[in-house]
Amino acid sequence: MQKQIWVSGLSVLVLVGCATSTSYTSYTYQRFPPKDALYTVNVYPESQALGAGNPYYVIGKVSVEGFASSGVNPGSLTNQAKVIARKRGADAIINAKTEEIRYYGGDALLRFKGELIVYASAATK
Amino acid sequence: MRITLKIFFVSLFLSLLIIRPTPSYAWHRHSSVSFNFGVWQDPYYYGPPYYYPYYYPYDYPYYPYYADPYYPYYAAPYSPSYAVVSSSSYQPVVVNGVTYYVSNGVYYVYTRYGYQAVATPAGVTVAAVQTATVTAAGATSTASDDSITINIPNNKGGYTAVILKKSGNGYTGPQGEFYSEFPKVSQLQKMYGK
Repeated sequence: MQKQIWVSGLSVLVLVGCATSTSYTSYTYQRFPPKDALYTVNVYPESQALGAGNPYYVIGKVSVEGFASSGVNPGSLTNQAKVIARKRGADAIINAKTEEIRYYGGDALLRFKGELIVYASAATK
Repeated sequence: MRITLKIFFVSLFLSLLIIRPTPSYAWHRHSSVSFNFGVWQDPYYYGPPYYYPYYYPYDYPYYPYYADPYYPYYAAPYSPSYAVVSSSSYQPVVVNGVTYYVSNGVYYVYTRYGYQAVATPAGVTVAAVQTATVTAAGATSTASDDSITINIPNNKGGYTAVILKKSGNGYTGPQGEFYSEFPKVSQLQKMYGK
C-alpha cells in the first residue's frame, strides 16, 4: 500500500513537472547573481517599451509553454518566467506576450515569451 | 565485498566530479533544469561575472554570431571572436558608422552584458520619417532613379512620405531596414503609419 502511494506521488510529481516546458536563450556570456525568491520581477508587455531613461541590458529571452488542458494559464506561465528571471539574475521582463495556439480538438497551447533585462547600474556592479 | 563497494562509490564520486553537466534540452526542453555536481563551471554559473579566456576587443563593434536557426553562422573575418548568442528579433542598423540593433522600436548597442538600450540616434530622428501631408486618397508613390517615395496613410488621417532607396536586389528604408522585395503598404504602415 505504502509503495503504491509512493508510486502515485512520484507520478503526480512527474506529471506536474512536465506541465510546462521552458527554454532560455542567453544573449551574453556574462552571468548575473540570482535574485532571491522575494524579489519582485516586473513584467512589461510588448506594447510598453522601456525607454533609455533607466539604462538596461537585455540579457536573454525566455519562453515558457504548456497546454491549457494541463491546468496551465497565462498567470502560471508568467510566474514561471519570473522564477527563471530571478534565477538568471534579471530585474524585469520586457516585450512580454502570451500566445495561444489552438489545436483541433479544443486544446490550446499557451506560450509566454519575454526578454530578461538587468538594469545597467546592477549589471556593472 | 566491502572493498568492491568502496571502490564502486569512490569511482562514482570521482566520475561525478569530472562529469560535465548535460543540458536537458533533449528531455522536453527543460533547459533550466540542469544540474552540476562537477568541478567545472556550468553554463548557468551564477557567481560574479567571469570572462571567457579568449581575447576580444572592448571597442564597438562586437561581432555576435546568430544562434537563431534562421541565421547562418556569422563571424567577422580576421576579428578576435567574442561569440555571443543573438536573436533575429534584433535587426542591425548602421547609423553614422555605429551598429545599432533595433527591436520593438528601441535602439540597442551590443555590449558584453547584452543589448544595452540607448536613445534613438540623432541621425535617425531626422532621417527616419519625413512627414508630409498628401491630399490624394490612398497610398501613392513617386519614383526617381534610385529612390521611391511612398505615401503611407498614418494614424492622424494624413500621409507619411517614406523614401525607399534601391540597395542591391532590395530596398533600404529610412531607418536603414532592408527589404529583400518591395515592401507592402501594410508593412510600411506598421513602422511609419504612427
